[in-house]
Amino acid sequence: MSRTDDTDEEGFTVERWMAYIWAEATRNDNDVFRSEDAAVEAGFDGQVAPPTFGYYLARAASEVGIEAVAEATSSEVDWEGGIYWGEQTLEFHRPLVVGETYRVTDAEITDVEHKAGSSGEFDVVTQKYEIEDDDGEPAFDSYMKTVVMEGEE
Amino acid sequence: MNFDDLVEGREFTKTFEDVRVEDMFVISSITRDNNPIHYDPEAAESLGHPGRVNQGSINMSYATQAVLSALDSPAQLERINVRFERSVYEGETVRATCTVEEMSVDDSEGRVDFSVALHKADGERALNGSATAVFDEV
Repeated sequence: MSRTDDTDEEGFTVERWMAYIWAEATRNDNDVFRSEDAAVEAGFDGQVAPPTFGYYLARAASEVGIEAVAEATSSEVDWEGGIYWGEQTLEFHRPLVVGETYRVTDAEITDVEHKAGSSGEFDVVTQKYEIEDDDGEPAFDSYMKTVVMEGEE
Repeated sequence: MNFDDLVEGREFTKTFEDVRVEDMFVISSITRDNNPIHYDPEAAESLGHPGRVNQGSINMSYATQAVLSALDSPAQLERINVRFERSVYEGETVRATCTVEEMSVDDSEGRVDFSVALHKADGERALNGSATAVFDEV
């Protein structure tokens, strides 16, 4: 997924509904992700976004989406051929919060490793994203590994 | 939990019953994930799955919630890592666990390293991983 309507050069602003609905769909019952009052009571300045939303924000707000990953393996996005999420790491410098505008300052494919396994040959694509908040302070880093199966010749 | 409530080996569990396709639809919509295995049962079946496949982001969130249940505040989560091993399907019941692996204190800052996992009903693990949390002024 490349840059979407959620973002532009001005950055990605986390809106209240995104945090609320992400919490609902992932069955997260902590109300700091739903209400400003609950978050303030818990010591935050405002409503918080679920940490796992960060992986999506990083990818959506950068040019390194699923198409770029497929391109790095000289293929196109082919769900039937097999593209899998292998690994994800999120490192937070501060909590992800609603109302904040985030910018991806660095997004790159750092490695493409060709491997052979029992189900065929595949590439493991490593992506790195560094994200800052609106004040230019480091917010979080995202590291992602995507497995792209090699198509039949 | 306070830092003092944690001890190496202590496990925290959160169970998620009956994984819902409605949640997959929501995550597909928010993330514009057009992979049909998350919404089209026939596409999932033709790729060898017994049902629609829960998104990795939902599985990662389940695992993260086990970690958050061990903390005072989500603000304490410094790092989460997950390696996806198996798919989770609609209707499945899964159990997220996190276990305190190592604790340390440096200059009144407490750090806790956890191992995390998401267990499928058949005993396989959907994911394995680790997490680190920081507790101030312990």
